[in-house]
Amino acid sequence: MTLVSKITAVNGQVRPFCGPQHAPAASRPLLDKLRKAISRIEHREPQFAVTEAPSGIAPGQPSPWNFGLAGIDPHLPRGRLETGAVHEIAGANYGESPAAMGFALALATRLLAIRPGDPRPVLWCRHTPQTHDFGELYSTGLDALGLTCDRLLTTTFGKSRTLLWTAEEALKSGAVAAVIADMDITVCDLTATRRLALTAADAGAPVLLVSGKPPGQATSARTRWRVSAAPSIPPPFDEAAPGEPAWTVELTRCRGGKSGKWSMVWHHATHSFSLASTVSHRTVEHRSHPGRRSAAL
Amino acid sequence: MSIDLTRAGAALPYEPDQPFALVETGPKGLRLVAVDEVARACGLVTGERLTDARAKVPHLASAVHDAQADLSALLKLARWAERWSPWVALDPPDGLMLDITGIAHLFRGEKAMLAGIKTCFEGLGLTVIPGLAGTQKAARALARFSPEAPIARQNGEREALKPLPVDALGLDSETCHTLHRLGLKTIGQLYDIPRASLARRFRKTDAGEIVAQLDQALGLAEHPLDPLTSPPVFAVRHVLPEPLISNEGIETIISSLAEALCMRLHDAGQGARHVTCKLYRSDGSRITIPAGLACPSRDPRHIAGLFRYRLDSIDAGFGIDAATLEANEAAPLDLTQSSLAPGNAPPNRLRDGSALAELADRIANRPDGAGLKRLAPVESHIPERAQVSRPIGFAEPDQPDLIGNRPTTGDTPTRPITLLERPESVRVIATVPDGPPVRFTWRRLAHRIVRAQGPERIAPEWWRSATKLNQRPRDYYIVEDEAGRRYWLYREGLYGDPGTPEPQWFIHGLFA
Repeated sequence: MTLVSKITAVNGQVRPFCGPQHAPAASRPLLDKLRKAISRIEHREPQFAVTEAPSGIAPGQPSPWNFGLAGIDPHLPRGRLETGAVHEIAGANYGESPAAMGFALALATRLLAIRPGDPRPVLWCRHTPQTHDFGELYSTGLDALGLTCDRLLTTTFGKSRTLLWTAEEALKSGAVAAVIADMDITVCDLTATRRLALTAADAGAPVLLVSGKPPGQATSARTRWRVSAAPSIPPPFDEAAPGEPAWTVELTRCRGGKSGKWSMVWHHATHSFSLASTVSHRTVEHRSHPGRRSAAL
Repeated sequence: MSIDLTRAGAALPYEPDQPFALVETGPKGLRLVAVDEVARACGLVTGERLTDARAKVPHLASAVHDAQADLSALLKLARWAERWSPWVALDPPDGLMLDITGIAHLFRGEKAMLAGIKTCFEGLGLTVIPGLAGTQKAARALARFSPEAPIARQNGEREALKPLPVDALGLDSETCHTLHRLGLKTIGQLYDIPRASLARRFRKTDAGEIVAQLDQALGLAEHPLDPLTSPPVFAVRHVLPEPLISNEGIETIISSLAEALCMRLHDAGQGARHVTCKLYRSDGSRITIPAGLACPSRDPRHIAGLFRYRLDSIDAGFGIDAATLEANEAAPLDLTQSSLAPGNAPPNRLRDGSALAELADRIANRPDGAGLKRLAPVESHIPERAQVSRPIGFAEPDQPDLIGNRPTTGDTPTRPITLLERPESVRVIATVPDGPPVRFTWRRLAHRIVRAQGPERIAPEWWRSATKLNQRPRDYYIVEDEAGRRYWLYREGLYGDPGTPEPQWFIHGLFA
């Protein structure tokens, strides 16, 4: 992190994501070399060298871990979420924790879906206060959202430190496809998340830090999301019933990407997202005014 | 031993050269139960009354004997003595039995072993008088009545016991007294008497006892040792030249022990299911750290790793001078092909779940670890009963054919992602009593309901007789408030049901 910013400062023209286009032709090999060196130090794939278009995935390669939405994926570096990294998913406020959990679950399910030959489960670590406040994981409901119980392991801890340790051990063991850490994110300082991020990079498995409230301090998360529940689109056969889960998701921080805010619906049957406004002619803003609701229909 | 233990206590109630005795309340006043060397030199013996002893030796110091404390100290010593042999039994009030079959050569022979044991106990301030023979009874007799020749030759119990008094057989005092009166003073004299006449001379029970004791002492009858803890299946030990205090040192010892243990497990084609690490402190106490394994394993790195996080909380005291690692439970473990390419973890480790089992072990064996759980569906309509969380590592039973809770693809989820630990009471306003709620207050926050789906009636499971009482049907609603948050509410009870209280509303779960 520090190294990158220093080099950016020296080469005044070089900016993340615009570097190759803006740098003079002569310095390009040197820059590439430096970038590779930095990537090696940081244990990850080169982030700044954007050589391929976000959508240009070679046919033989595994499909990327992304949203599958043209509206969101270009906001992410290389059009995908990085697998070996920490992603932070916070509820917009404490009551939105279930929405954050649902979003994390949807991301984990998409990760499992793009790796069909991989039998490893997802480890969901929970902090005991979270269990007291929002209840225990319910496998039938998780199953209904796409994460079957044979692909899920859970564990609960009273101490956040133990939870962080468990997440790290799970990544190191290579036995899990992803770790969802459902905890009080305020204890995750830069050191703790940096450790997790390095382990995740080595293991190639992501850590999804889920929390009820946004963290107050800097963390080493690659992307940072704020999730809140959004009014759902009712199923066609029952106008008064709640529909499939919908969230308002804001990408507040993304290294090498652009932030943005979307309303999306999770389709568990196809493991896919869709933007709320494209599914229905009504947008979320309409729905939040119940008086205008009947007029829109 | 009691004297030694009292001396080991902090404050001595007497001067070092003063005669000292421990006393106990008997039927005729206080009696001596133990005397020290100075008192013995003054002519005092155990069993004497304290008043008589005081008359003989006026400056005798005494203290009350605490039999219970002695017994617990003996137990502690017995645990500590497992450093020599895993088969240790108590011989109360003041003895320990060790089965050293096949062990003595590890300590450079029987004589050297006894000398070593003596030195170790002397280091604790205890005087130990050893005896060694082919049977428990004979060893006990030799220790108590023949301290000058404590070791019986191989199959030489008969002649070793010959000169010893009959009291050495461990008979009750009345029988001993009778034998003495009959002139049968030594065990050797009993050999010459035919059994039938020995039986005739005494009451049947006594004679039976004498014969049985004699047979056990001579190895003619079985007398198995009842060990304190069930002996391990495999065990390895390591004695240190100097006591260790640092955790790093102890970790190194455990790693080397784990390697030795796994070598033995490998030779036997077994894997450990439960291992115990015993660390012997130099002050005669022991630390026991058990660890369970989800799947049989003989990976030394893994087994040593199970203890790593437990070592932080141990108290090494004055240092640890011996350690054993035992596999208390083992199960057959097939030989597996390790990777041909050096340095690479075999890819099948992930497939066969051994990486996962090792992870589960590491988590479960942390002092504050809850263990990895797998959520499994249960065949039940009642939501809180429809799921069970099981520790992984056990054989997963076949999934039952689920009746009610199986989700159907394509529909909106009908079950929440989290279920509250217990349903929480909410205040609900509904348009009509039976209708869906329009407003509810949960944890002091009011929510206006925009959408509701229901009711889904879940009746109590009448076939479970234990839960039939006080169970009422529940009408579940999936509701969504203005912000789009989805909750699972239910109304317990029915309106107009005579003899039951008004229906009540609860919140049971949260949707994503």
